[in-house]
Amino acid sequence: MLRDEREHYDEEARDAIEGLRRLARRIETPPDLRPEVLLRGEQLLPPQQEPRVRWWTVVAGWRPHPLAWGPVVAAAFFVAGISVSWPHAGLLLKDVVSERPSAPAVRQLPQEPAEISPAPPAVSSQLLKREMRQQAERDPASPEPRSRLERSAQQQLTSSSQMKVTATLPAELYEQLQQEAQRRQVSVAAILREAVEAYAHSPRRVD
Amino acid sequence: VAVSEPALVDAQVQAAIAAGEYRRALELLTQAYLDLVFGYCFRVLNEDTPRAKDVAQQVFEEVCRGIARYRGESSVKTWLLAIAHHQCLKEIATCARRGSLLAQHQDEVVTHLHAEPPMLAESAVLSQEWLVWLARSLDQLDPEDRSILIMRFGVGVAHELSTTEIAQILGISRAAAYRRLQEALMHLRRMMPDATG
Repeated sequence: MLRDEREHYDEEARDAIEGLRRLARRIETPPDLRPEVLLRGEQLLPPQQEPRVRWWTVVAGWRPHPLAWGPVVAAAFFVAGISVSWPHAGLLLKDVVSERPSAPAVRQLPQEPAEISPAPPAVSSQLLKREMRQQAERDPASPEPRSRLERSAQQQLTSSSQMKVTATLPAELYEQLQQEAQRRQVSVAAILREAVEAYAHSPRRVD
Repeated sequence: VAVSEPALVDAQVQAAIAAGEYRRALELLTQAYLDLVFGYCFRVLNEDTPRAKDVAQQVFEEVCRGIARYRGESSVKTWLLAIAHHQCLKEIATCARRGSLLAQHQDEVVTHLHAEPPMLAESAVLSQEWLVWLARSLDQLDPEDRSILIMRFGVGVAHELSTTEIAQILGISRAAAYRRLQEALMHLRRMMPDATG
């Protein structure tokens, strides 16, 4: 009996309820009913489902409210975030820095005067051009003809464009180079080029 | 097939349906609930055994047609009695012979009730004659009221539906279902002599 505290029946109704329960006890199901029901039911039952269809039916039957998908998606992203190893941020930054041209490396020097903006050796192709032009103008009596100078400059440009110097110069060395350049009234790049050439022809060079 | 507690049976039926084993589900259903469905139909259909058998058969036919769609939102008992409720009301509504059937089977009902061995403890309060009156009065009730009363009190103590489950079947609120139960009981009681009389 299902008792419900919220339900209340008066005395007369309780008699009727008791009478209904007694009447229910007197009912006997005909013994031939169950075989008939099973026989008829078998003809009407849907065919046995394949496992794949069955699973799809179960999945399709689970249709929660669209709002319920929010936590599911969030949980999926959370699990994916934990399980997948992402590249380290520092590594990414390193890759970016290594791909940059060497020019900013020289510009990052702390003692670099803003008005001078010396060009680094690695990007000295334009400077070299300019320098060669200036040198030709300064020394018009040069035994070398202009075309030869240009060819030489072109060679230097080609070779210098292949030489990428990415090392950062120490501040003290850079200051010394600047002083030397001022004293000799040439650019820092010219001094660097001379130094590199001298090193290249040095017998003590270490390759 | 081992059938014990209703909750266990429900779980077994749902598992069989989910697995697509409809034949097994039908066996479980008939084993556990055929008496309930037949008893309900028998009482709602004015103790007319052939009609009750037919309608019980129709109930399980409906079950077989819709078995793949059962998702367990309600208990199996509620599901079956909801179908039985609609089938019985349909049967009553379409049966033009209702009045004549009542008169024709009254004597059989009385005979049947008197054929049972008397229950000594009950006979003191609710006499056999009073039970016959109750059965007659029940037959004269509005079919929907009768159905509600039988679902609530007349299908055997183990299978009685709660007012909430009846409300679910009727598609009304629990309060409305409770009010209808009270009214049906009042109507029934007005047709009856006193239990002690």
